[in-house]
Amino acid sequence: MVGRKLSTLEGRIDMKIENLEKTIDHRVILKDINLTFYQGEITGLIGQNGSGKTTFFRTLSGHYELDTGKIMIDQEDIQKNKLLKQKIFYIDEQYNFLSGYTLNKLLVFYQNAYASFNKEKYLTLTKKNNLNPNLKYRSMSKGMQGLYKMILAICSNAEYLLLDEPLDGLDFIVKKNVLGLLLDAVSENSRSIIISSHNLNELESIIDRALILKSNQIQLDYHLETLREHARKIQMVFKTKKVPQVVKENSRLLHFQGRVVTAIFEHYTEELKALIQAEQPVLFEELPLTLEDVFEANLTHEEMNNSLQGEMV
Amino acid sequence: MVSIDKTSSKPYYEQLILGVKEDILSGSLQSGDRLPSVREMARLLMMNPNTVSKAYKVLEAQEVIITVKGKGTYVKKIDTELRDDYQIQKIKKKLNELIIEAHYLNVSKKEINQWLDESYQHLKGE
Repeated sequence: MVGRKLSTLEGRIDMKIENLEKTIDHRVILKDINLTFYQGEITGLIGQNGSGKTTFFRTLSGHYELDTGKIMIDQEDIQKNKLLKQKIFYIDEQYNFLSGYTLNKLLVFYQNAYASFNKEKYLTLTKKNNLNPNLKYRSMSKGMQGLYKMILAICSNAEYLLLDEPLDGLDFIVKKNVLGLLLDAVSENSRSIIISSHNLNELESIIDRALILKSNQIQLDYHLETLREHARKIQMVFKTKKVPQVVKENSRLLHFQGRVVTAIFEHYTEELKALIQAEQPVLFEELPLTLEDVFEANLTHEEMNNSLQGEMV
Repeated sequence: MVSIDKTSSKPYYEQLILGVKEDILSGSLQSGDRLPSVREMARLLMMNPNTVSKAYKVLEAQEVIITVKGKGTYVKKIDTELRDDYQIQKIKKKLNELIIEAHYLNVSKKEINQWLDESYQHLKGE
């Protein structure tokens, strides 16, 4: 029993990124990236426009060379074994070759690129979604293109799907359809899916884990269910205008409005609550916490610091 | 029908567990009924399948539902005789904490009794 457990652990497929660094035109875009992506997990890569999400994907997929660092799949360096790239699926949103080809032709390309491409599934899904195989990619609507790219991703059978803003600009119905395909794919076999987005709301119920990319680094790595369990947003008013030390130390302040302090406590406990109560707040109220709050608290405050220190690029 | 409240401070899997239990108590799910598979439920709620699977595992461990390999997940026969003492103690403790808080807010015992009646009426489907 123990032996079996060990072997499954060893056989666990993951992608490990060590000390990844990328500089473009003398500008550091990514540095000190150390991460592991696990199979069966959906990860959201959250960052503002220009934070380096696309660069990160391009580097993982081998479109960019690494400056330093290593990317390992199952303990094997993907820069040494190029075949491992079949395990990664990525379509560059800006530079891709899709537009001039018919879907039929694209199918041939992708079958050649991914040895375990699932043609049967591809045919079923394209047919079900009324995607005409003789149509050129560029003549499809944006929604259809989004759907088609998701079908390619799923049918590639790659273990790591890097999806760059896959829901951006899609209408509600198509979005649901695209997400449905993705959820089915995760339920069926365990893969690792990494979705980038600047829209947290639409990822909130889908992802297991959120990574925040900011100032060239992965600043935060949350498991959302844990966060939901332990984090609280609280509105408080204290008699004096000073915010008590216990609040300052254990929370990130969201905003001040006169005396009203709204703060997020990431590790809220009964003991902490008692300590705050001991400061005798005039008002003490738990508010519904959305993930956006958490990220707002993390993103905006740093920015203020940056501008104060004159670190703007 | 089970639904997820994004603004709740409860983790999604707990909300799902509670939702299924509520549906059983209100009668919209009855013993022997088939539950949507993890995949179907994930799609239905547009939710991460891992979260659904976690909730189902807890429900199985609590013997609320049962999964028959290759067939599906079903609501278990509810045994009114059988009581899970550990869980009951936990709930009792929670209730006690709530009552302390309520007392602090000047909620009377009468009011609490009224809440209890309302909750039970709600359970019976009004």
